[in-house]
Amino acid sequence: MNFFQYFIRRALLVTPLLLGITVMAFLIANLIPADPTIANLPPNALNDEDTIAAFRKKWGLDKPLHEQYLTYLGNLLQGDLGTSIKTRKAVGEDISRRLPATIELATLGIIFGIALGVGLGLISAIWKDTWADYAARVIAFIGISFPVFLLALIFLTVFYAQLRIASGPGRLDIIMRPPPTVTGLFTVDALLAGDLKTFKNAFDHLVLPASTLALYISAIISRITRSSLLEVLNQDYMRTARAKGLRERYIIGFHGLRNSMIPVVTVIGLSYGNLLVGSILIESIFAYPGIGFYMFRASTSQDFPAIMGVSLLFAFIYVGVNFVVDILYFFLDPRIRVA
Amino acid sequence: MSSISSISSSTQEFESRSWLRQARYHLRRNPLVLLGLIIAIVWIVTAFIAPSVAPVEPLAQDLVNRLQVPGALFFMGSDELGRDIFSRVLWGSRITIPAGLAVIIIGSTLGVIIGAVAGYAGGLIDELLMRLTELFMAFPFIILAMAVTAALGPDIRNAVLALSAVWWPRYARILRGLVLEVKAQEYVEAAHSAGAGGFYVLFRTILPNCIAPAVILATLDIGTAIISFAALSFIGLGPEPSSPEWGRMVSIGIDFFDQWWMWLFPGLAIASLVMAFNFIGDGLRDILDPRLRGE
Repeated sequence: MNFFQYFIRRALLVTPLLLGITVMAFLIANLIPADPTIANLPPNALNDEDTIAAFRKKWGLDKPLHEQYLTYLGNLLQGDLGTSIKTRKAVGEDISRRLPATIELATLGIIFGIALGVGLGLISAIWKDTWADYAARVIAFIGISFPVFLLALIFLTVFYAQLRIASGPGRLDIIMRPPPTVTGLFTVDALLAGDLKTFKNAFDHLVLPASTLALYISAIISRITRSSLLEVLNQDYMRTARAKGLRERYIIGFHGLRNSMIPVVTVIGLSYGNLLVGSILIESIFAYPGIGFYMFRASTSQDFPAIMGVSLLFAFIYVGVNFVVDILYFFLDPRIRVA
Repeated sequence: MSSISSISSSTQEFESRSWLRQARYHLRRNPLVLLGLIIAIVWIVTAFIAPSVAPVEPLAQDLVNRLQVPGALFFMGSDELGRDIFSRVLWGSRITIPAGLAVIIIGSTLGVIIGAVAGYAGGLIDELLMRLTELFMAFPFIILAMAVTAALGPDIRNAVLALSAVWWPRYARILRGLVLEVKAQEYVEAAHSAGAGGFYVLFRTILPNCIAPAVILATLDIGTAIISFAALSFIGLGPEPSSPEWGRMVSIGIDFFDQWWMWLFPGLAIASLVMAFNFIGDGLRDILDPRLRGE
């Protein structure tokens, strides 16, 4: 199978999934609440006949369910996710303004997380049953068992409030001005503007929340890396590599790590779900103005359209990431090319 | 007749004694399981006796003594309304433990039934149920639970219902595979040819033979269920703000960042409980299914 065939086949599998997600979101939004009008409009608008009529007309609420869904899908394709009760703005607009902040945090978080997870897993597997192994596994256990919001609060207290070696809440110090917007990622925009001071400030603000996120997602990654690598280390080809007199570093780095990466990549794709949930909990504690914080504010104030918008977006991102993971298999696992 | 029954009773005794010995052996090899069991039991007992051992009522306010540092007056400090954090943490176990267990019980039962029916019925029903399972798995499950709770209206019962509604897919998947395997066994054919109906065969002949992995998964899952419930109530999709639920207490505590006792103790309560169940689950998996150990 060549890459193109593989890609098309995977893409065909993803499309119905994406449609299915829109059906689910539609059903949750329209069937569960006693009255979608009440759920989606701000309380004071409920006395206003015109607003209610306009709302019902826009979402086709007087039509049968399947037509309502088509109306919903049509609105969705135009990027219309309804109007936030709290901010009074279009949810789509709210989200797109906050998305870069979350992308910035999540990217750094996943880079830290993979580095930490694979690193700990590697240490654990190579020095199996030594104190280094136990220490690495304890760290993983904390990552799994501690609620991520508690980790965030502890990190903030220790590294920001007490030791004062990390920057605190927000994306920038209050006195700093954001760099001119190009991508919306403050670090990238600051570099583009050649403003190193802003870059450093923005990056410093990312370190603590990204590390929390990293500790949270690295737990599963390190466990899988450990068990997968241990399995690979026992294979015959590893013995052959040793018998050939290759250096240990090369054997583990090239033969071992590469062959143990397939389950790890799968788990990275799956832990993207954790990353998204983690971003809600962490951003809410670091007052970091991204999608997660928006979701937190929306749920504490029962801003239903905003909650549904973010859920839908997160489901799409999750499916997208796992699609990319599927595509990565093609390069990681030569067996797929033969099949 | 009597000699036969005495033989069988002595074998039983022997078996039960060897079971005990095995349990002791495994506990010695996995001391963390023992630690987990102890912590979990302490919490469960706490949940039962909290009303009689907690120093004060969880909602009792003492405005003169607000935001007290942990000390002689308040063992774990007091919150912004002078409520005793220690009493609230004790009472919180009465919400979180039943909520977590309910999610696991409802969710896994639902998954077992869906998976079993899919595997046994095959054909169109199987296809439909499995596509549905995949669809549910395509959503990050906590996000889906958030959307459902928001639609139902936030309270404890709805948070538990929403989590249960997203909890079943993994169980359905595993059960379907197992049922497919067992379905092909000869004793199932024997049951069929003896005239047993489909319903009877599925629930009396097939299911008992594939329930063990679901039970292991459920044990491993309790910690995740508890932490997910805490996350939902942390973001306000659970009990009302005054509730002594741990996740809610932490989220109220964010506004009182410097009063660390307000969020640290309820947070540690969640962590200790989740850790205990993770220790138990991991140990149980190692003991019952060495293949999953990954070594």
